Amino acid sequence: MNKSFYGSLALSNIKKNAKNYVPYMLTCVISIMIFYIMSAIVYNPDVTKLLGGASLKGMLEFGCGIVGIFSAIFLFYTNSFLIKQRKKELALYNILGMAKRHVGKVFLLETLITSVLSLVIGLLSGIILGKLAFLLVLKIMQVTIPMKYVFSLPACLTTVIVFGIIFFVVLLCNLGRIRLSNPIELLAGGRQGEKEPKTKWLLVLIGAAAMGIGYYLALSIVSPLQALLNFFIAVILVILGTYLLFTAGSIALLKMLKKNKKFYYKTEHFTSVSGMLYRMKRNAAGLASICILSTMVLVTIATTVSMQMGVEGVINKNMPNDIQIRSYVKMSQKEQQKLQNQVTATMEKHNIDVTDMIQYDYLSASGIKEEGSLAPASRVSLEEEFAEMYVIPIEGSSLEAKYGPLADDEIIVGGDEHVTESVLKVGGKTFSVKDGASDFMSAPELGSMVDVYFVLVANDKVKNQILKSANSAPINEGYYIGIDLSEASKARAAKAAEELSKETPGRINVEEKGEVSADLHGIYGGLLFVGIFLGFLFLVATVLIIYYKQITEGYEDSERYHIMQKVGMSQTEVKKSIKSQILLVFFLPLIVAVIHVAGSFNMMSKLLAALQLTDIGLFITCTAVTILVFVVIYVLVYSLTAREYYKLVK
Amino acid sequence: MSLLDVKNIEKIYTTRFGGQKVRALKDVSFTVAQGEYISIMGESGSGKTTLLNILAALDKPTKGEVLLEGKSIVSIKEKDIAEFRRNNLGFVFQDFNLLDTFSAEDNIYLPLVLARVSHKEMAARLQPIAQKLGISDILKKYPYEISGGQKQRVAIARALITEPKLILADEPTGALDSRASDQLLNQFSQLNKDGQTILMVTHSIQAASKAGRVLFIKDGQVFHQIYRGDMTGDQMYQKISTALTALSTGGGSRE
Repeated sequence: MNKSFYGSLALSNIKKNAKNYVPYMLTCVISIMIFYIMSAIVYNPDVTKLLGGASLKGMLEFGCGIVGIFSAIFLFYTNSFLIKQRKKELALYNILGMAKRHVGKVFLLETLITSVLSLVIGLLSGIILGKLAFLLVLKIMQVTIPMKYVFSLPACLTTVIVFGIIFFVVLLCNLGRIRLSNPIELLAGGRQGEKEPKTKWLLVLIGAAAMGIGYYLALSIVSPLQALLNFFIAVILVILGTYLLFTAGSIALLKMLKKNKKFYYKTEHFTSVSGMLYRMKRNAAGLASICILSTMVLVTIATTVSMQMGVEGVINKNMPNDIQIRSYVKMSQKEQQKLQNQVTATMEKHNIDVTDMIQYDYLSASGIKEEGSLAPASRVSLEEEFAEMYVIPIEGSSLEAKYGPLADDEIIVGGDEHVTESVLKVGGKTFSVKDGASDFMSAPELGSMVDVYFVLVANDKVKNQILKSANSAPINEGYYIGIDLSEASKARAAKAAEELSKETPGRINVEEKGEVSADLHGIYGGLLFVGIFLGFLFLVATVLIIYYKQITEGYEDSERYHIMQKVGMSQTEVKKSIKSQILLVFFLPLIVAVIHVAGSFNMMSKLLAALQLTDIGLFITCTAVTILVFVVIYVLVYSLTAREYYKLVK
Repeated sequence: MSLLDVKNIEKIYTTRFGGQKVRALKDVSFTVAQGEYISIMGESGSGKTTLLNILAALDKPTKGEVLLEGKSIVSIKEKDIAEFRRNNLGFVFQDFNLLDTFSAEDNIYLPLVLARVSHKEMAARLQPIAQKLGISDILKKYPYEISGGQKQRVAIARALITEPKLILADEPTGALDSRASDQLLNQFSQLNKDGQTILMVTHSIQAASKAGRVLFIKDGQVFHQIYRGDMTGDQMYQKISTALTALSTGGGSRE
């Protein structure tokens, strides 16, 4: 047998199995494309020059890794489907007199053709779409620096190497399968009866426990820090629980239904229950994967989109003033005056028009807000929801004009949470609340991870009384200057802030709104970019798994339904039975995914709080819209692939 | 009155490509009396399976009429056919057609479940049948766990449990070894003695020789028939054998 024979055989094999090969190659092409685009941006030297470019680069590297691992898993999965479909064909080659090494040669050539083809197409579309993706990132990040998008050779090489290895291992797997097979078994293929699955109670229990603990962890989280700590444990537990409950749990449930004779021997349930039993045995793992992938798509997109949508809010909350100057240690009157003079001088030097300037002394502490009391906490535990509290004397500061006068036993409370009590104990001292919902809002130290209360008091004396009454609770004293600028001078603010930062001692922190905003846009935009790409990849994976499932199910079911028709099931009964089972099989993962998203909501909102986003309403809207869009896509994919299924069953 | 009345049926297939017409049956007529045991024999392509499909209401004749207890089964509406089949006919196939996903018991129950019979009654009906067929011990087993002969007995139980007027068997011994075949044929004879009407299509002279009457089909027509009368099994075997030889030589064999 000569060389060209194998080549033409390999080619015609690919053509004849187009129905299975096209989605497989599509998976390859899309994975390669996404991998290339991500690594091209990682390798682009201009990216690190951007504000926040370093964090974006880190995130993209992480995304790249995920895409690589995910592609490997998924290509293995789709490949095993492909081989299962071709069992009979392989057996035929064997019987017709091709030795295993000849079949191996054909396989080698097939893999070579598909890998080279998908690498070429994937890289080409990556290079072209990369340009578009690049412009998209820049648009999201709102930077106007003209950047050159260049073809990246290292990214190309990385892609070729990574996917070369994946394809090679897949090939080795296939060759191993040929070596282990014997033609008669291959020919019989699906014909030999399948054993009824057994109930594995231990696995059901472990699954239920993992799921329960995972959900408990996710739902019981009260603070962002706790969310960060528990996130991975909860996610792993829920993934484990989902797999076990889909595989062992569904079978246990169906077996129980089967034992109930009154339920089981009903026309509506009889074929469905036993059919589902075998269907779940074959498909549970795939369905669990669909479920987890869908959950990932939903959570990733919902969080990144709401971060992107909420970024302005975060910036405004963190940076109420255009330039913020803060000392984290107590400053004497003299030092304060010196700093003020310095600030004024620098602003004048840069020809910056200051429209407003506030300055105040303050106390800050982590506190616990309870009914009628706001107290600095001596110890903040992760299990409790804590707040951030500030005590600001208005006497002698620029606040006096607007909020004064205040009696010694009066306070005004501002911040993002309002106070409804008329009498409030702050630290150890009781005050009457003059205004519990003041519009006073300043820059919090920690950002906006937690609720913030700004308590305005009359003077230093009251402030010190509160400080003394706090006992052992750690309280920080500091000094703050906030400056607002006219629109025209904002462009020069960054330079002035930088100079001020250099001139003042290191313990004084100077922030400029434009800079912080660009930083956050960079981080959030990068997250969104990674989120949308991962979401897209997960979605493609989900679609492909559904498509494969429909096709394999179709082949296996068609014979079963023929028999049922012969023993007296009508066409409509067959159709009804098929429909109910298929609907259940394909919508179960979606339903569970939506439940997972709902379950993860508390944890994700706390995580978002850790990233400064506290707008729960926005997050709810984003999640709901994401779910809605996803359900529409899922239904669309289902109905398109279901058509293939019905064609096969007919 | 005869149980089944087949009147001048004709079946013409149009091939998928080119629209060529193939006449599978032309003008077949015969009757089956209550309690009869009939074999239909013929070469491959003679129209046996087409005939059986028409009797089973799986296919409709181009011309002619089939009456079961005086009622036409040709004119049954599409939506009622499944129910008609369930209530009146029992099927035994060459390849058993048992569902892998059901235990033997559940395979037998299938037609009753479709007919919405309660579980209690199903169990009551199954018990005597299982005993008669000797499958009481294997009811809980799955098709892949039992032998071909056992599978076929399960299939017969499934056919009998609806108490059908007529059992249609398509090459029931085709996939069985000789011992299992003998056993099956004995069971058929026993069932027939108990009053069950059976119509069996077969290639096997051995199988056909147990029947009360053998119909020979050739080129879509009933060519010849032999009544058992009081012949012994061996005599019947001889007679069928001779008839088949005549059939293939005298009629211009294609083989």
